[in-house]
Amino acid sequence: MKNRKKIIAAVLAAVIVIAAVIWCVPPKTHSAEGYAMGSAVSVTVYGGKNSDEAAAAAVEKIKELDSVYLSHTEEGSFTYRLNAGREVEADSEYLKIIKDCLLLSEDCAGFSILCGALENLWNIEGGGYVPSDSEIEEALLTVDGSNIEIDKTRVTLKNGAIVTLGALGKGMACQQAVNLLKESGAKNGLCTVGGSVGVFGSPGRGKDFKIGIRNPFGEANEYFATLSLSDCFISTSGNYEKYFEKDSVRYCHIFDAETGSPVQNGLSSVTVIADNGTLSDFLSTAVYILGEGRGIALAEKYNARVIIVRDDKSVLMSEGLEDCFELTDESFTVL
Amino acid sequence: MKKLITSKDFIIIAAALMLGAALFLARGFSSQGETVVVKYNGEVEKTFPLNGEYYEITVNSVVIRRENNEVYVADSDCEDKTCVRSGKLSKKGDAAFCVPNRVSVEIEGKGANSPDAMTW
Repeated sequence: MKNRKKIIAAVLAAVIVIAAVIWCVPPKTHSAEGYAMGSAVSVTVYGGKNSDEAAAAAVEKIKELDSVYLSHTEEGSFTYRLNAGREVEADSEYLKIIKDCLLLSEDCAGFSILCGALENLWNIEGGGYVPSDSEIEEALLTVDGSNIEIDKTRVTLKNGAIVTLGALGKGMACQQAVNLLKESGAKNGLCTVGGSVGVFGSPGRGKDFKIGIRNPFGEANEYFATLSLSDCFISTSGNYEKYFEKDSVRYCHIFDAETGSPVQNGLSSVTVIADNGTLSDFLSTAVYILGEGRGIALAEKYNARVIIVRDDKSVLMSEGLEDCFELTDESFTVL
Repeated sequence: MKKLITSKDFIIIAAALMLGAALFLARGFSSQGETVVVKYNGEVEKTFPLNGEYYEITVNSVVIRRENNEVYVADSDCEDKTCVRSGKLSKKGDAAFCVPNRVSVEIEGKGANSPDAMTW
C-alpha cells in the first residue's frame, strides 16, 4: 500500500513537471522572410516537423503569386502582359483570380480592379497630382467592370482599362500561404504580407495570436489596440500609408471608382477580420470606400468583423469584438 | 487509513511546482541583452547587441545607426523613407523595413506583451 501511494505521488509529480515544462517553454519558431507585392513578407510556423522548409516554401509561394500572376510592374506576369497586350492567354489559376475579384467587386460599386488609369492620373506614389474634372471623367471611362471580359482561356481589356490587384493581392497571398502551410502539416502558423495577416492554431500555450492595429496617427511601429485571434485573416486599409497633401487636403491611395477621386469620408482606417484572406483584404478596402453604414452592412453579409477608426480618433467596431479587442492607447475613444 | 499525500510526497510535489515556477521566471527574464538583426532580402546580413557605443553600418544604401542603446535607420536612398520614419527601436520586436531596398532592422525576440504581428 505504501509503495502504491509513493508511485501515485511520483506520477503526479512527474505530470506536474511535464505540464510545467510544456506550459513554460514556447514551441520552437521556424521563420522565413522575403519581399513581394512591394511589401515585406514573413511566415512563421510554431513547432512541428520540417517547419523551416514549410515556412520557406510559403514565402516562395507568395513571391510566385506576385511574379507570375498579380504584379502589374513585373514583366512576364499575367497582369503585366494583360495590361501591355490588352489580352492574355490565361491559365485556370489566373482566370479564377480574375473571376473571384470581379465577383467581389459586384458588392461595392466604388471598388474596381480596373483602377490603373486613375492611379496613374493621380500619381499618388510619385508625389501626387490633382487632376481636372475632365481628366477624371476620361479616366473613369476605363474603370467600369464591363471593360474586362473573360472567356474559357482568355482575358481581354477594353477602353483603356488597366488592371491592378493591389487591393486584394496581399490578403490572397496570406490565404495561399496558410493553405500551403496546412497542407504541409503545420498546426500553428502566422503569415504577414505587408499589413495583411493570416493566423491559424496558436503561437504557444494555447493562446490566441495578438495582432496590433496600426495607429493611423502614429509612426509605422505604433499600434493603438490589439486583437487576440486565431484561425482568421486580418487586413487594414487606411489613409496614412500612401498619400499626398495639397492645400491641406489629404489624398490617399484608395480610390472611389464611382467618383474617380481618392476616398475622403472621415475615416482613418478600416480593419477587417474574415475567414478568407482575399475577402478580408477586399472588405477592408470596400468598407473604407463605402463608409460606416453601408460598409458595416457589407461586412455583415460575409460574417466579417470590422474595426473603424474615424479621423477624430473614435473607434467603432462590430458586435462581439469587445472580447478580443484591447485598447492600448487611451487617446482613442471606443464608441 | 493513511493520508493520501504524505509529507514526503508533498515535498516532491512542491519541488516540482518550484521547478515549474523557475522555468516560467527564466522565460520572463530572458529579455536581457537584446540583439539587433539586420537582414537583406530576408537573409541575415549582420547581428549586433542593442546595448553599446555609437555604431553605424550601411546595408544596400540603408544607413543603420546605434546610439544611446537605441537603433534606427538614419538614412536611405529610397523615395518613401518609411524606414526612416519608423523612428527609434528599443524594445523586443520593434522593427523598421526599407521595402524598396529589401532591408529590415529588427530587435530580436518578442516582448512579453508585444503583438505577434501588426496590421496596417
